[in-house]
Amino acid sequence: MAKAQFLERARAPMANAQLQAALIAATERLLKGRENVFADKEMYAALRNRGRAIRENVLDHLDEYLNQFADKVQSAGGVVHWAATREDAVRVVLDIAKRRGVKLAVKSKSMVSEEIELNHSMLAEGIDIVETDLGEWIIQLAHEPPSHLIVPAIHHTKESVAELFDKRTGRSVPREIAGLTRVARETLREQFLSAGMGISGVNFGIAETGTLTLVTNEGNGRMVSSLPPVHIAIMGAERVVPTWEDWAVLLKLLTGSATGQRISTYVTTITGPRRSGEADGPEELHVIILDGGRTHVLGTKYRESALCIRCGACLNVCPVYRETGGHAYGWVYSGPIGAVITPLYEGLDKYGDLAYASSLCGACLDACPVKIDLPRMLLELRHDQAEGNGTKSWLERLVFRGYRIIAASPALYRLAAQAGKIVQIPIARRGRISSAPPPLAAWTQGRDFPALASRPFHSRAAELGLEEKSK
Amino acid sequence: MTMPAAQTEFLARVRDAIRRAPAWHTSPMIAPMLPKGDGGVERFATALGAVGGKVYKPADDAEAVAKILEIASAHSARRVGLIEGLAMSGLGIREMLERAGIEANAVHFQAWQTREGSEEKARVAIKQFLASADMVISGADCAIAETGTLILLAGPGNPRSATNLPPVHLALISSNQIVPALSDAVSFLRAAAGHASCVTLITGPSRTSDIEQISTIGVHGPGELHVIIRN
Repeated sequence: MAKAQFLERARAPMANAQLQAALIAATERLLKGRENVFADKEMYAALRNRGRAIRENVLDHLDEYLNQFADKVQSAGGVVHWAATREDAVRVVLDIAKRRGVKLAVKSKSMVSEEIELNHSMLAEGIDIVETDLGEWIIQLAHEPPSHLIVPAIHHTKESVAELFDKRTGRSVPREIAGLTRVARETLREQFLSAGMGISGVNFGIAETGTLTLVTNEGNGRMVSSLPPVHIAIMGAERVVPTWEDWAVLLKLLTGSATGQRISTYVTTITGPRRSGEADGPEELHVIILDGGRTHVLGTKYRESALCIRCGACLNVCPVYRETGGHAYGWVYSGPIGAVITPLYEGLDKYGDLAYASSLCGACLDACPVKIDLPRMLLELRHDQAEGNGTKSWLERLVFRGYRIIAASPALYRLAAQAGKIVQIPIARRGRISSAPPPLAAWTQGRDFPALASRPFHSRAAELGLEEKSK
Repeated sequence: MTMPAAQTEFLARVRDAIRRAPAWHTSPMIAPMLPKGDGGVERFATALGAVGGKVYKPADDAEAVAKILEIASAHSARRVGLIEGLAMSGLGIREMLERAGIEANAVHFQAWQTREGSEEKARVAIKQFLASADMVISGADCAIAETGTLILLAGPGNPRSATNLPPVHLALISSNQIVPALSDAVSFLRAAAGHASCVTLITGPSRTSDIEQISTIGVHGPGELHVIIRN
């Protein structure tokens, strides 16, 4: 049942030629940049090993590092809020906004804020919240969720962006990219200067000094953390790192893997609110540390999903993502990492089909800067579903039970292969089966099935110089 | 994880007794300095050039000053914000700009407080000035050759938004402020976190590729970054 949902959501994007071209262009561009930055393979291997070790260590001692981080944030004058659930995190933001009488909040790109659906709750309370990352602003104007971790508006063209900007500004904006960028600068500049609250995510929280790091290219992360009188930073609990040395390693892995940059244009490191004698920076700095299902994963075979640094490299290499784009995945995170964490956070019953949105080719594991074994976890998710009740059809169970009996006996296997060759006669053409009868018809809709060879491999083993072994 | 009550009370007693001043007032920050002429300048210039920053290496002070004026004129700058910086001293930048009919103001919070009469008025005035400035001139506290990065500590003379609001950012650095790699700046950054509420690493002009994957500059931060390296 769940299986049909991903396919359903994938249908429209796969029929959209513009999106198909944009997906290829974007992912290729990001991958090429990544290759350039990590051209020194030996150095990259060392950096990757180090990155993995740092992240493992963080998860091993997460309680201690979080405690240290929170202590340091507080001694620098910040306020720390522990949010066990998404609702808790939203409530903290709303309470602060109401206390301060905030009418408008500006936000820099934050996946965690998408996770807690903050915009929805703010708007429901009558507080305006504006996305300030250009891509995020575009999809906010279009009322859409992001379709890529790093390039959220990948599916838009300059024409569709111009139409959205026309509507927002009430005039006719230029139809070229530099002009559109200028419109965004001017329109959002007013919002930065008048907002009562800035909201951001946290790329890394450095425990030893209680420092938040924001990584942006546009400079909006700097705006939201310097101009409004209140800054709220929402951090996934796993994003803490012990030291500045560790931070430097992960920062390189993040920007190199995400956008192919040696470092992003702006790396903002914030330790506390503005201090006495400073002209700007927020009076209040709040850090919300979100669990939101993370600790639930830590003690399980899915633990390593929490090593993720949200670079998006696994999306760019994924042959499935590159066809479907992000919206097909149905929740905030897409690509292979989304296929793993979405069912974990949102329920296997609802999103279990995402585990099948993969060819298990392993490209995501190769691309991951902290070597998360995503294919293994996708298989585990399939396993969990097969073990669960009612998620597999009786037919599939029957087929696999039969296959187990046949494959365990050489005599039965040979017999079955002979039978198969006879059965396939009406449908096999030139070694291929192009349209199989139900229930295999769905499989051959988009590809051929190789027909059984006239002489099976095991009977050719002797002439190929291989020894046939049987138990 | 939680401290025993005795330990918490003990440490609180110690803290109360010390009554230390906030850490950031204790001493000025000293950034790492390298011997001149180790090739860092070239690597810095190449790396920053690759991401769209412009780098100049004037032979002497007169040439540096001329370059500043040239950049200001090229943008028909009428208003320029000045941030104090090590590599800016002794050039008489403010006087030079004023002679050219350009309004040049140091954005030092205390000076504006005295002028405006209150903290709140000074805050608003500085924000308005920076939002309407055509250009900002700053120093840097450290620079990284590998990536072409400037490191700036926020403080009374360097508001966080001063290098982000104006459309053009011109920075002057000294060649011995350039360290080879990010890893060489790590201990400086750790120490800086105790001194400044905000430390920013800047590598090139503000940039986006969010519309059709076309790289476009100047979306929120400065669209131009110029760096003058003094020997």
